[in-house]
Amino acid sequence: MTAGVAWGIIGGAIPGISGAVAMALALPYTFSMDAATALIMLAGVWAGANYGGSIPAILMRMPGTPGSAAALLDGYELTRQGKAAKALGISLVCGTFGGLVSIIVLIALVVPLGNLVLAFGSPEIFALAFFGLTLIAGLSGKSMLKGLAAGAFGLLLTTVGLDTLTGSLRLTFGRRELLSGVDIISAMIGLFAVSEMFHQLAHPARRETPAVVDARTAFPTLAEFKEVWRATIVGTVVGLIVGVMPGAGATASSFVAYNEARRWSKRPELFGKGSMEGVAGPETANNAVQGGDLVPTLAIGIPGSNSAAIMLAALILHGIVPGPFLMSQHTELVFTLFAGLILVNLLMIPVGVVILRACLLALRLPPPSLVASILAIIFIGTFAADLFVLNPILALIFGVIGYGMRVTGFPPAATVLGLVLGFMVESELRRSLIISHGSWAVFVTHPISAVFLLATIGVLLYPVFLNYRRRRKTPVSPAAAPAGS
Amino acid sequence: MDSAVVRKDVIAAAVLVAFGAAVVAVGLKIPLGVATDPLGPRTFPVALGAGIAICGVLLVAGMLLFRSAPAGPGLLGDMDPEDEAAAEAGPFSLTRLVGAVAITAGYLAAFEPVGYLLSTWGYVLALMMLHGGAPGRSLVSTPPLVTLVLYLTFKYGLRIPVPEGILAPLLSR
Amino acid sequence: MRLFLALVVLLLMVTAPGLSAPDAYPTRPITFVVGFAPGGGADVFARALSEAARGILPQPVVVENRPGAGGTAANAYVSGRPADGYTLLFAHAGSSIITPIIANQPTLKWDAFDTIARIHGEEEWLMVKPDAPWKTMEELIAFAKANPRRVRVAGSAIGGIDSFVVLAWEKEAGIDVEYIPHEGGGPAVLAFLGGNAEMVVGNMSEFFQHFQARRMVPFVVASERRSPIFPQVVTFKEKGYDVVFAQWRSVLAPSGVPSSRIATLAVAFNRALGSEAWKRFNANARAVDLYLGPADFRRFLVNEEARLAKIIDELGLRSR
Repeated sequence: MTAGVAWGIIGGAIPGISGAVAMALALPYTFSMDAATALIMLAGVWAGANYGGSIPAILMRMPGTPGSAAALLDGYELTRQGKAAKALGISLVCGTFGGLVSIIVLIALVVPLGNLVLAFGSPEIFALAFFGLTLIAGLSGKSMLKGLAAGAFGLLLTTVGLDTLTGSLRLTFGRRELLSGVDIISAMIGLFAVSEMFHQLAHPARRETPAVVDARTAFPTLAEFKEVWRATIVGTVVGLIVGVMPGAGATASSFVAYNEARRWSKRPELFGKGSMEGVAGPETANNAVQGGDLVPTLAIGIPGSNSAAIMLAALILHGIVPGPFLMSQHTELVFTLFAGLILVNLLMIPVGVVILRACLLALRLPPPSLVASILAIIFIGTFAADLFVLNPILALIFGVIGYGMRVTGFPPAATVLGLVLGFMVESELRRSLIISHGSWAVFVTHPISAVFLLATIGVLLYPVFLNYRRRRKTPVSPAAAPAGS
Repeated sequence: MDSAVVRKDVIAAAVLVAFGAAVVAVGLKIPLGVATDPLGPRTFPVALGAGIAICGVLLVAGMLLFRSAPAGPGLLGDMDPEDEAAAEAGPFSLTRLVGAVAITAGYLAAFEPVGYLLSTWGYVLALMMLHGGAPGRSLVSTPPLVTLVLYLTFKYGLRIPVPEGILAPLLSR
Repeated sequence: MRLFLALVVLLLMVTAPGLSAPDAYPTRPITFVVGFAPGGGADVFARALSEAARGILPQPVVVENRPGAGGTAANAYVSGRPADGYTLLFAHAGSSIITPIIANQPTLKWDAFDTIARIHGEEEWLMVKPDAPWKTMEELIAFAKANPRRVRVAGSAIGGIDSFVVLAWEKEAGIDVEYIPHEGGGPAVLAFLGGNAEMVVGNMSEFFQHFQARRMVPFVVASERRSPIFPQVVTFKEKGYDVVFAQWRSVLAPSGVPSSRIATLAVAFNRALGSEAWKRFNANARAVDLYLGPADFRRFLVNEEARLAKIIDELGLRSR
């Protein structure tokens, strides 16, 4: 069990190896175990990977798993301010909290939640994903236009490849490597990490090593905890909801949680500049999806994500048929699994702290070695996932694009958001229209979807509304009109 | 308004328009396949391409119309090119940037034919030299160390077939 | 001179064992590449087969997932691997025939690979809700003709066998239904259960538990003869519609593997089908062994491709 968690954290930390990949690599080792132990170990890998990915994200602006991308928005800033240990500590503790709560909710509510899953069809998933896109507004900084363009670029990239809804090839230019589309992990790593490394190489005098890195102050103090508890709760709720929805997983939930954490925060202006809440929210969310993902898996027998699918595969290989009767036919197994899930999430803290301290030591390397090593890790990591040189090449290309975007003020985070949500947005939209026989009203007649869409409109109009009220109160001088927003 | 920023924005806008138009052109030729949904496979790519191009146009329009500095602080610190340049950085060196990209491209090209061990060694060494400031001692010790650690981790720890390249006869006993 | 002769003899002694020794294969683990995500039908099949082969082959078979492009991403990857018998490829009709034809990628089609064996297969079923208004095929056809595009059928991606069942049925019966493609059997079932489709098409391994939970009932099966699982359910064929498809699963390898190694693998897989583990898996999956050796499998594929290609053309699916 401990080995599972440790492997999960390490695997997650390696860029290019996501939670599902780490679990798949561990799967052969579980054959000799009995079903319950196998499942618990895989769950440990899963939980560990969700946390592990944030280690390089926070320390080096390099997401180890797609679910950790949102954590780097503030996490890396914290590292630059010398608070890497605290950021990692928050990530660990809040993540564990999110995981535990989601498991408890799972245990308590798996049957009713199982029915809830069925209520989330294509219109609902589209509405949620579309709502998630409003985050672009928050990521755009000064220029909404640039944010929109960056987001549209990300969305566009997800259309590359074979279209499952029609079987037609899109934007592949005859290259068969592009048949399955643009690899999200490589693109993400390129946009964030490779561009950052290029930046450091191009500005030779920068000393990027944070001034003080003290592993002893890893744990957030109680006071710091109080700062982030709001974001943690938000993250947990978001993670639970998004996790239950089939198809949406850690990545989408972490971005939505970032947005929501900022919305509910008392100090939203800190986000992007090193807000602890900006780390707590997404990291809690991406661990909290674990419970949610298991709901359809255990209740109906249909996995809610790739990671859950591996759990299912393990079940099948042990001769257990998943489906609506799993809980009643194998009650002891399920309860053992529940107990084990709680244990592995608790184990995350001690194991995580050990690995955390080891990684903090890595930061003390002198910059030339550090930069070179990071780039080397990036390329072997992205190669390892698919064994195509294409992925490292993508990382390079997106590194150049990412650098260009930074220099001209376009937010790479918006592109990543588009990459993460694009597939869901497009395919669920089109599927919804098939289901409704071409009627756009379907998004309104389905209540859950209508709620999300109203929320989207609300979110978009709210700042306009605020602006209007402010202007009513104070007369505006003509020269203050902002450009490009 | 800072003319360097204006120039960057104009170039960026031009790129957006060109890219968006190209996407629309290619997108319109996407085969329809078994079109079971009203939108079809073309709508998204074409709409997004058009959107990007429009953003470019609006950017330029905005600059022409308003002629004032961009308002408000950026949400993400590293997006302010002005702040960035002012703060901690050394002078920007185009040659170093191009060098970094070129070295990396060379590394990826050599990755499979030459094999992982040799090309990574060379890559790490080249990068450290490009970065500058590394004592000779570490130039000798770090590249092989990093290469070896990564090689062992991925080949034996994760059982991933790392390309052997020209060392193949030596490596596969 | 004597020294020279001695050296020659020494050389012969050293190399002779190598000359006459049998091919020592396999000496390291074999990778079985699957073009679909973990947990899906293809992946589970591959893992079960690997497990069943354990103990029969001296080295383990390890599954590697490379999902994407309807399974053809795996085809692309394996075609670049050395043809030494250490890399195998999962194949079914969708990933090895239909999708490569639709996407106009002949280098990814089955004939660019070596055939090892066809292993087993499952029937294609159409399921409906227990309270569906149509009890017979005739009723359903009448309804569909009167209400074009009203009946919605959920299934997996276009280019897979599931989609073909429905598309061919539409053509044969002259009806117009809405096919709703999903990324796999699982999401399709969810859409059906959630009320977003009136019917769902796929394999019984995905459906049986839901049938037991009384959430779906079989309506028609796309086989030559009625199925022993539900003998009271009609086939398309007996109703006059030539809709016969099976989801067979098989193993391919990069082109050029030495025939002795192909034989070793084929024999091993054949023996694996007799193992307890495999029998249990097949029973749970409600699948039927359909073993064909390398040559027979190749002949089967030639015919299968001809049949499917005709339908692809009739449906106008080829990519320009």
